[in-house]
Amino acid sequence: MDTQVLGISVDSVPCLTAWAEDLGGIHYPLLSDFWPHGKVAQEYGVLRSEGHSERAIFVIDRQGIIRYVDVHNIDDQPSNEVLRRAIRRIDPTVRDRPEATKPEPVALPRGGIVMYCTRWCPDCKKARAWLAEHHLPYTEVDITTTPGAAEQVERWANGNRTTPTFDIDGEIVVDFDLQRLRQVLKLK
Amino acid sequence: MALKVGSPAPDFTLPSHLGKPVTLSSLRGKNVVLAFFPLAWTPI
Repeated sequence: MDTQVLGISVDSVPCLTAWAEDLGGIHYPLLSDFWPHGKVAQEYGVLRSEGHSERAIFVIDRQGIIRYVDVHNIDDQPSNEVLRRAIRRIDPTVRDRPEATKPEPVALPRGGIVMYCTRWCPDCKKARAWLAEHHLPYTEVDITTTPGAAEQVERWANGNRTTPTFDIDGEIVVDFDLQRLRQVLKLK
Repeated sequence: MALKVGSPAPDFTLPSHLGKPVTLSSLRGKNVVLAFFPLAWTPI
């Protein structure tokens, strides 16, 4: 597509760099609207009183005119398909590209302690340290890279992607809940 | 209030995590998807 994607937030450049690295690299620019703080967000009318921006999409055409605006529920991710439709509507010359097919969910590990986590979540780090301290062997499932894992956690955690979430021989413990973990693992 | 469809997009130059600053007006001739997100470590 003859389209440039730009991410933009009020984070500083080092913070965006660290985040992009953690996500395995982001190939489009993430712009830092850090100083003067949120100036661009303010000009586009999407700066919130908390000091960060809305989750919002502007599609700007080849002449620099705004052709599509979507201010999204701050907790939701806009879908790529909705965006592609919007871009095609304003510019039918952009080439169609099929949506990347979603990888089939793989069989998730079962038996023993299985911890659903991400690399960066602070409670996952605490949980790893706690498991090591108690010499408990466990299997990690990274929900950002394992197809189907995030959806599995959502089913267990009332629609939330809570990490860590544990599957301990079929007993589910949502969050790093020490009391529940001790109980399920029969620790003192 | 967010800017409305039909308004000219305000120009800006901002630093980017890829190292080079990006100027919106230098992208004339391309469609641009400008995706504001609240904070890093949250889904874009």
